[in-house]
Amino acid sequence: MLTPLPPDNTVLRMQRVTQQYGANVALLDATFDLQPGVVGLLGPNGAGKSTLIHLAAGLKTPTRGKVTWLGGKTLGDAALEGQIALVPDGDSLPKLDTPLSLVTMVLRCHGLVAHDADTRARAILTRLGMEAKWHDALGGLSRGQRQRVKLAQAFALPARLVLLDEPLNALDPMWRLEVATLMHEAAQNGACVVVSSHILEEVQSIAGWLLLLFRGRVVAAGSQAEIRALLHKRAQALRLKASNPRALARELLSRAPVTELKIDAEYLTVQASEPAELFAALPQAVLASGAHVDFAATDGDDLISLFHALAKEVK
Amino acid sequence: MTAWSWIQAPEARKLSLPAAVGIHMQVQLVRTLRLRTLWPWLAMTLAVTLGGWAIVRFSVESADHFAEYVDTWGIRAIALVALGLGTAAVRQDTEAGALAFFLLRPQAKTALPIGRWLAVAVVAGALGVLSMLMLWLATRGTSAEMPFTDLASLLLAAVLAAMAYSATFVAIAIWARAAVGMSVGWLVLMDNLATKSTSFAAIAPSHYLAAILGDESAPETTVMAAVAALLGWTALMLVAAVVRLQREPPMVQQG
Repeated sequence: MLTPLPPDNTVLRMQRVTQQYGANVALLDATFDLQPGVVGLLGPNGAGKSTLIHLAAGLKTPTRGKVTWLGGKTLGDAALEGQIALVPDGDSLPKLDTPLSLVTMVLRCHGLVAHDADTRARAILTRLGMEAKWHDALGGLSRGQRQRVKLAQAFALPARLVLLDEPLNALDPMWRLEVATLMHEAAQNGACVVVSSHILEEVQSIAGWLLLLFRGRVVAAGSQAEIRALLHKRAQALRLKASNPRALARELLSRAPVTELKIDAEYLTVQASEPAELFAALPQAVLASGAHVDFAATDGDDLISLFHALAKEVK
Repeated sequence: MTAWSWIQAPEARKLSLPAAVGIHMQVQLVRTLRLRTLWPWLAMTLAVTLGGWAIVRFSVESADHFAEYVDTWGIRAIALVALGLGTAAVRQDTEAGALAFFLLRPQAKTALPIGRWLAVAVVAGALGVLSMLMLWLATRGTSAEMPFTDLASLLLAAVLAAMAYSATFVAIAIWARAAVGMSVGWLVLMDNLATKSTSFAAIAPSHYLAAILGDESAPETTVMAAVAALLGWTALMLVAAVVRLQREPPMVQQG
C-alpha cells in the first residue's frame, strides 16, 4: 500500500548531499526535491548518477548531507516499507535463476505471501512480454529480456519512489515504448519515477522534469520548459535559409544586439549578445524584409551543447 | 491468471526480522538445492566418504589412519562445501548487480546475511552429517570400530563446522571482492599455518573442531570451550557481515 504523500508532495529530498569514495567526490552538495512524476536524471558516464540513485534508494549513507523521503522520513521509518523500487545499472542477473523465480523471490522478500508473489510475478512478466520465458535460465536470455526482468521486479508492486538506472538499455523500440508507458502509469498513481540515462534524447521524450548532473554536481534542475528556457538562453547562433538574406540581415541588425553575422548564398547565420532578443525580433524582421524563410535552426540549443557549456563553467 | 494492474496489487506484509530471515533462507535454499549447483559438493562428499571407507577396509593401521583422515578430510570437505556455497550465496547477486533487489526493505540488511548463512549451513551441515554418519557406519565390524560416543562427537563437529565455516565465507563474500581467493587463502592460513603454532591456534576454527573430535593436537581445550568458541566465531562473522551491509552494500558502484 502506498504511504500518503506529505502536504508539499515531496517524495525525495536531498539537502547538501556529498558522497566521497576516498579522495574521489562522486556527488557534491546535491540539493533538490522530487515530487510525483517522471524525472530524467541526465549526465555523462561518471557524472554521479548511480551514486545518486543508490543514495536515493537508501543503500548508502551520504558522507555529508541529508536524504529524506516522503516529508522528512528517514531510513528505518515504518512508513517507508515497500515505498522504494530500484533497477540498478548493469545487464547481468544470477544466471541459474529464471525470470519467474527471481521476481517471485524479490516479491517474497518484500513481504508478499507465496501465492500472491507468484501470481503478481506472472502478471508483470506477462505485461513485459516474458510469459514464454518464465522458466528459462536468465543466463540464456538476451540483454533486452534480462532488462525486462529487472524492470518487472521494480514495477511489480506500486511504490512511491521508483529508481531506474539506465532502464532503457538494450530494449528495442517497442519495449521502450511499453516501459515508458509503465513509467507514466506509475507516475499517474502517485510515484516519482527517476530515470537515469546518458542518452539525452531518450529521457527528454519521457521525463517532465529533468535533473542534470555533471562531475558529481547538479548543474541544472527543472521542468522541460525551464531547461528549454535555459537552453534558449544559451543558444549560440541562429541559422536561416531565406530568399533575401541581406535584407533580413539588415532588419535584424536594426532590431537586435547582433554580434556576428555571416551570409553564405541563401544562408544567414546570426549571433547576438542576448539571444532571447534576437529570437523575439525575428518575426518582425522577417515581415519587414519581405524575405521568405524556408528553414530556421539554432546551434547550441540541445542538451549536448548545454552539457558542454556547463562543463566549461564547472571547470 | 490475473492480469497485471496497478490498482489490484496484493498487500505486502510488514515482515518481522525472523520472518525476513526465513524468507531469505528460503530464497537461498531454492537456489542451492538444484542439481546443477549441488552436484560438485555431493560428489566431493561421496568421494570423502569412499576414501574413509577404503582406509578402514584396506589400511593395516586403520584406526589411526581413519581418525587422522576424519580430522583432516572429513572436516575439510565440510569447509569446502561451505566455501563453495557460502561465497556463491552472496557473490552471484553482487556480481550480477541483483543484491539491491533484496536490500530495499529496512530489515533486509540484517536478514539477508543471516538467512543466506542459515541456508548454506543447513546444506553443508546436512552433507557433513551424512558423510560422518556413513564414515562411522563404515567402521562397524572393523578394527577401527568407533563407539556411539564418537558418533556424537563426529556429528557435533560436522554441525559446528558447517555453522562456523558458512558464516566465515558468507562474511568474506560480503566484505571482499575476490571472495573465493580470499576464502581459500583464509582456509589454508587457518588450517595449515595457524594450527601449527600454539599462539595462533586459538583463532582457528579447526583447532576447536579437533578438540571436539578428541584430537591430541588440541589437548588443552575442553569440548564445552570448543563449542562455545565455535558458536562465538559464528556470531562474530555474522555480525561482521551485517555491519558491512548496513554500512555499505558491496554492489554499490561509483558513477
